[in-house]
Amino acid sequence: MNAPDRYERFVVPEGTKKVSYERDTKIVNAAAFTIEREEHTVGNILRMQLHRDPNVLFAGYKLPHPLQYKIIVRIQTTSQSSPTQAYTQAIDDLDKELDYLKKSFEDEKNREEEKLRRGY
Amino acid sequence: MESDKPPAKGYRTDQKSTRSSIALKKIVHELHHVPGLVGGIVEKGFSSSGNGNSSTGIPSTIPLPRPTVFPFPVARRRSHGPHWTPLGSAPIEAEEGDMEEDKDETDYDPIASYANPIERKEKKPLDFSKWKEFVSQDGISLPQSNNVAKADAGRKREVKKSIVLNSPSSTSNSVCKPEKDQILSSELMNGSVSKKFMLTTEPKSLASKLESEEADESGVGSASAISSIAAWTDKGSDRGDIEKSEVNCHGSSSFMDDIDAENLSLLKNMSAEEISEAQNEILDKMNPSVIEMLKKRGQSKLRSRKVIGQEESDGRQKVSSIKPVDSGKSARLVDPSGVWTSKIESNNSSWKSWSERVEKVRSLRFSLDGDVLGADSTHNILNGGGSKVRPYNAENVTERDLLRTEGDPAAAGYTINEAVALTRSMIPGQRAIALHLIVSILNKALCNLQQMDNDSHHVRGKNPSDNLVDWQAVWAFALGPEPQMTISLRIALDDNHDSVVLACVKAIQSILCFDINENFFDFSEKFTTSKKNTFTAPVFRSRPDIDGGFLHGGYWKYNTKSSNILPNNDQHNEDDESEGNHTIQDDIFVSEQDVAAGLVRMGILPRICCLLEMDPLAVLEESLLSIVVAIARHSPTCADAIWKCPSLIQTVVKIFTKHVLGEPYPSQIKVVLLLKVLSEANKQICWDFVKCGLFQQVMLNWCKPFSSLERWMESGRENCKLTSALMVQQLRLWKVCIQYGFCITHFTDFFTDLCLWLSPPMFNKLIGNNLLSEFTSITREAYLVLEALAEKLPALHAGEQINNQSIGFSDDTSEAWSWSHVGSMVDMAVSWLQLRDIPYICSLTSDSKKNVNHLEFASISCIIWVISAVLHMLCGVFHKVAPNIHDELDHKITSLPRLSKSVPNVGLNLIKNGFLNFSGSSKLVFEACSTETRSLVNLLCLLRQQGDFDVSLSSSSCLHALVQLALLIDDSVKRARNFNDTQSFSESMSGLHEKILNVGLIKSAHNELEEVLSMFMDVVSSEQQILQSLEMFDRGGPAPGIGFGWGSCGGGFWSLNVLLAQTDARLILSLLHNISVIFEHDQTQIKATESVSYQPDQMLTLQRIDSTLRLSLLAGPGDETILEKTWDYLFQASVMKYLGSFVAQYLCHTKVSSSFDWHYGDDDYYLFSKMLDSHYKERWLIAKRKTISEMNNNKRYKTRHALETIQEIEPHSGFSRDQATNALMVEWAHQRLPLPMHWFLSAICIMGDARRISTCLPTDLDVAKSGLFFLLGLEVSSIYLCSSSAESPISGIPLIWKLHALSMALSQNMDVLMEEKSMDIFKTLQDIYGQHIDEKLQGFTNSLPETKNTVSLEILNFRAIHDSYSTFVEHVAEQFCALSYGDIIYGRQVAVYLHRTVEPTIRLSMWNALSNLGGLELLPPIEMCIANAEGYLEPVEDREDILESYSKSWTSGILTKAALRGSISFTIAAHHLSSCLFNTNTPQKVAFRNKLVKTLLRSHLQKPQEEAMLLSLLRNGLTTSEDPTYKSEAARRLTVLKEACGGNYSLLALLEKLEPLV
Repeated sequence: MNAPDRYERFVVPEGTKKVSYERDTKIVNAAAFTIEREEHTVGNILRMQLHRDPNVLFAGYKLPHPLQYKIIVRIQTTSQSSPTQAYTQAIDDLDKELDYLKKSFEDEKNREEEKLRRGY
Repeated sequence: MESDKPPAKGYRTDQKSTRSSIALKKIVHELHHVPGLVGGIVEKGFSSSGNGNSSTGIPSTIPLPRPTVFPFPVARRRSHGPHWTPLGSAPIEAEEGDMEEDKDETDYDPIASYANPIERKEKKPLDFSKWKEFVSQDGISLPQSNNVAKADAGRKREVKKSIVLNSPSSTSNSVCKPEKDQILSSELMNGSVSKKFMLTTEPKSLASKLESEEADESGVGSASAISSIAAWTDKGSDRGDIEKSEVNCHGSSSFMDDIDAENLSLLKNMSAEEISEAQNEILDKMNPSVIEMLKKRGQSKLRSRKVIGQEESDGRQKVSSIKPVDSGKSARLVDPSGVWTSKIESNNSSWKSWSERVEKVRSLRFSLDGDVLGADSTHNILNGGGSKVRPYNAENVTERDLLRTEGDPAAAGYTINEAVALTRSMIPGQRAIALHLIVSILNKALCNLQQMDNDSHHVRGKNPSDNLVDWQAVWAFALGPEPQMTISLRIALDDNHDSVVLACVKAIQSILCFDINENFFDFSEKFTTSKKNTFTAPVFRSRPDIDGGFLHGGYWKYNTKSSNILPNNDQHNEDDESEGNHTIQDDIFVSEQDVAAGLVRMGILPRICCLLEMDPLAVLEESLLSIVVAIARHSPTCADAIWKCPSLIQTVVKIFTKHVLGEPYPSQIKVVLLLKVLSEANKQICWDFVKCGLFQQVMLNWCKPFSSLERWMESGRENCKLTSALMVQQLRLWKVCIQYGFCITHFTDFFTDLCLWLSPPMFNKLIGNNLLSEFTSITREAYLVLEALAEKLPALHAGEQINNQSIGFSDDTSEAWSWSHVGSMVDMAVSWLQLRDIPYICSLTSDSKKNVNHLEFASISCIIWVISAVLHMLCGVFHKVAPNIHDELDHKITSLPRLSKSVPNVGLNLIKNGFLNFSGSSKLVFEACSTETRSLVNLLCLLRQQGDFDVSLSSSSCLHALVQLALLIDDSVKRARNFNDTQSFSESMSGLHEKILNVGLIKSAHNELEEVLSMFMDVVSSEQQILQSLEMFDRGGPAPGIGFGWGSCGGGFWSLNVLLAQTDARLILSLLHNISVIFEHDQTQIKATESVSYQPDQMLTLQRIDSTLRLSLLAGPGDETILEKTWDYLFQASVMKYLGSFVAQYLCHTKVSSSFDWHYGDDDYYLFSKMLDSHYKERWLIAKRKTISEMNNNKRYKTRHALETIQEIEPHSGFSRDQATNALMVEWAHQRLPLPMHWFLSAICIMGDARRISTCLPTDLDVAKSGLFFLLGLEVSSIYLCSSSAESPISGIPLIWKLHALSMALSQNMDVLMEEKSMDIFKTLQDIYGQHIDEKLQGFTNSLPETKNTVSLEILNFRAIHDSYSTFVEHVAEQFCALSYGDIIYGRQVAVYLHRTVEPTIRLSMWNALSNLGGLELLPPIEMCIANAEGYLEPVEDREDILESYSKSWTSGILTKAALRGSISFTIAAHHLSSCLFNTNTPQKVAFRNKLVKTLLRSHLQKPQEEAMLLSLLRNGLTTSEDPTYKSEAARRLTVLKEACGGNYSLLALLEKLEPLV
């Protein structure tokens, strides 16, 4: 009925940033990142990665409403780090990890193909 | 009707003619259909006709009578038979069985394919669960048999199977004779043994005969024939009988027996050669392995049957003895209760115990006057011990009872079900007796319920099972889930014997609780006109859901949808086909839910109309009218149904006019009552009455006045009684019309006649003639009518007619009244104020020492009622004199000097006659007030405390009127002083009494009124529990009857206790209106300083707040305005301020929490009061309205062809609850009152309301903050109060609710914790609740060891809030992990769910949720949590699933961080795991422990960096390494671990490495 259009799920509206950052005023080294047009897929993996970081004291995400296509990631770190740092670090690590995954997958695939070719 | 089939001699064993086989087949058919015929009589316990006899060679000449349980000609339902067995019940699966030429298939198959067999529904013993489910669509969502086709298909195969079933035994017989024969014959023997219970002696002799004929082939044939005959005889005699289930040991149905019989007969008609041929044929066709298997199976079955057989039949016996007769259906096995109780979701334990109580009633036996017969007989039946149904033989045949077919027929008395079955007897006398029995059972039950009500002050909380008879359960069972009673009553009403009809009508009258309800309504009618009556239809609350924060107290709904009561109402013109869809099943469904609705649905009204037209006996007529009245009181729909029932009203009015010229006639009273009730129910009906002249007709003999009292008294006492009762009803009818604004002009006609009753009479003569109560009841009603008239007065000084008539009626229908008559009215009222002239009162007031004589109670209450009515009338008039108390100041008191004089006149009379005591007033000292006399107020208080119900009610009501009147007089006098010349005014007020008047009545009598207030507050605090037990269950709880029977303890809402409590509540309210909630002394203190120290004895204000809370709990439906007023007092800014200062003081004096800065300004308090007031009113008082879409649907339905228009959204204009303007009756449905105990938590829960969060109002946060503040205030005050009063409404609320409310506030967002002040409040509340938990735990550990077992440790059983509470817990955990930043207060709130006193399922789901989301490390350390640390750790966890989930979190490394941070989660896991590892000694647990050890060690093998965790696990519970026991203990632990490793080398190596570290 009055649900938003489909494309709203993945098209970031003009004038808004994909990721926005807001520092928490009450707690030190804490911030909330609003990631537009993402949902549990990104939220969960990001949170899990952040949990691996020993400097991260708190990491959680929330989908405020099923029809509001954004997630809010809240991060708090120790004084050795900062939320932004932890956030980028986590994304970098995820990037690397996924790259590695992709690479090893492709390697394996190539090896199999090689095997098949040799077999003929 | 008998089946006079001649005994067929054709099937002797040796006869082989085909003719006989045809004859036999015919018999099979006949027998099969006999029970189907209407009224077929089959005697129970005897083999039918002479079949059995013929086989033994004894010809029977006289066919024995064969009654069934279905003797009364009743339309037979298809479901009564033939019955179908599920496929699985065939004991042997055969692959192929069509070796025989099965002729019978041709007979059955066509039927099978065309018949539409109805799968019999599995019947539950007491299926309450249906009531609990919300009726989704029109109530016709009846469970339909969906496996019809399956049964149909199964039928064919069954035939074959049973053939196969037979054939192997005979084949085996021929194949290996000596051995198999034994099996066969013993199998047959076994069959007959199992049949022994019901077979008469003949089969037994057959069996013995069989034994002698061993190994003879023809003998086999005969044996099978015999058994087949036996099967038929069963078949014939007990279709629909109890023994059926016993015969069919392995559950095969009667149908199976039929097939079996036919097969056997076929077999018998074959020659030996034929048989062997056929057997060979089968053997050829069959796989040898299958045959082997079948043989084995037969043997094993035989063996097992021998063992089980006896037990099983015993079990059956037991079960079937408590089976109902079940209106002619054959008995089915009662499901074990566990099956259906598991369906019921909420309140499991209490619900289960309740259903057990109800189930017990099934076996209760009643004597003919309704008493329960000795517990011994019922005990036997329940135990099944000595209550076997013996087979009838020549000796005990006299015990046989043709009328009772279940259980133990020889036992004395009848069970309810037996009585119901008896109402369908053929003999009218028996039907009448059965109905009389039902009447007396119902009356006894009601009587005892009422007794409970009266005694409830003393025995509240007593275990109902202690009573000899659980009448509450009896009542519930009678009305209960099995609808036979209603249907039988409805059928009996169609009887053509007057005695039966009369008995039936009486039964219906008592099943509708007419008398007791009428008594209740009679009382409530005595009050004031503002009190509305309520509809009596049974209702239930809508289930709590997460949107409402799981708070109970949802909207009420009717048990039956109104569309179900009159199913043809709407669709009448639609399509006639739909009518065919309504079956009796629907009627049953409706009457299961609601007896009265079921009766109406089954067309009781046209039948009553018909009976009334036949000019019945006077008694019958009166009872019939009573039923109609009871139905009219049921619900708006029912009232409507009566109104629309053709010619019912005309007939009723005819009854009235028939007797109008003669003596008054009892039925006339009922007629007027009916008209009144109908008028109350609907304004339209009332208007129609007036329009078509019914009102004039009914009031006709009002114009036949008695010229004087003497003449009235001369007419005889009986006559006086009748006239008085009739006049009371007529006056009430008139009052109803007046309240609607009709018939006011009749005043001039009636007033002259009224005058006779309005002035004080010659009391001596009245008392001499013993007519005081009759006279006073007329006077009382007359004054109440005048009060109603006074409300229709135009405001005296407004100068304009008040035009307050409501919707839908043009102004000409309603009339205003003029002031010209008021003067004389008031004069007469004043004459009643001369207390010295009134007997009883005069003597009691003149001497303060005199005690109230118990004998005088009745007379006293009569007079007090009159005084109360007079005072109320004066109130009504004065209210119009000074219309609005808070009116603008610019109007003048000018006109009607006589009236303006009358106000002070009444005031002076009040003073002179000692209504109030002014002696305590400090400002004025009056010598006139001597101590010898006591004031009326004093007397009334005394009477309230000592008197019976009537006196208490009347005095409470009178006090209420007095206080209100005094207030109005004060107000008028004050205004008069303001606007008149002050000088002249005070000159006119020179006397002593005038001075008082000048100062103000209330002010002068302040001291006495405060005494009254405190007394009544005490009274109310003892009364507040009354309504608490009202909602034990949702649907189908205690007695889903009507009115009185509806509620729980002692009649619930319909008990007079509640009425009294509500009256008291009203009085307190009006006193609070005069005396501020805040005690004056406290008020000044608050003003003086912020933080004052309150002495414990100065708790008056707290007590007042406390009792205001209690008052809120007492409000029932229709009391919304009263509740609004109560909350206006409660949520004043000053009260908030008082609470605030109190909390501040508490924080200063206790060290419970780090005392924070408690500074709230006046603005804050004002905001709190505003927020709370509006929130609570909106949350609890707004009536449910149809949603717009629903209204759309309705409209569309009516005007189908009209264009759809966009509905305008109706603005929610304030609190529009005035839906009831159309009626003077109040519906329970569509509103929320009475409130649940924890209603004030709703303000906090609003934060978690998912529905509101989408339209998130900024005020919600403010409301939640105010709610937190208010809760803290109440908690603190309850801490101070708990020493003085027994149980305050705050501390009485279970702790789970408070903790739940706090969690609820955090479940959507944590805005509440964002602000510092509310965060502090939150924390303080948590601390207080932590203390509560500790106290309770302390109490538990201190309790005696034997009680410990019975009392569960689960103090915080959150599942009582909602069944799916674990889902909510997971949601909270999710929120906590998503956005808390590890906030400590939030963490405390989450951690409380890990407390050891929380039930395991909730704990487990909280732990798992946190573990999955990585939130375990965020929890605070154990010292910072709510309640003491021991509560989380002790006693040691013993549930394996929880320990496993601890170890899972441990091994998966989630606890690593938690260990670093010292979070509570690690402490808990380490403690419980180590206790499990090192303190397990029971052998069952050792395996589990070893498994646990291995998992833990293996995980540490992979993660060597977590050595510290393992060490802490090892050292857990040990103090220091210096301790001498430390070494030995540590060594012991290590050895335990080593043992558990089971020789795994790598694990042992790990331990080796660990050893030096320990």
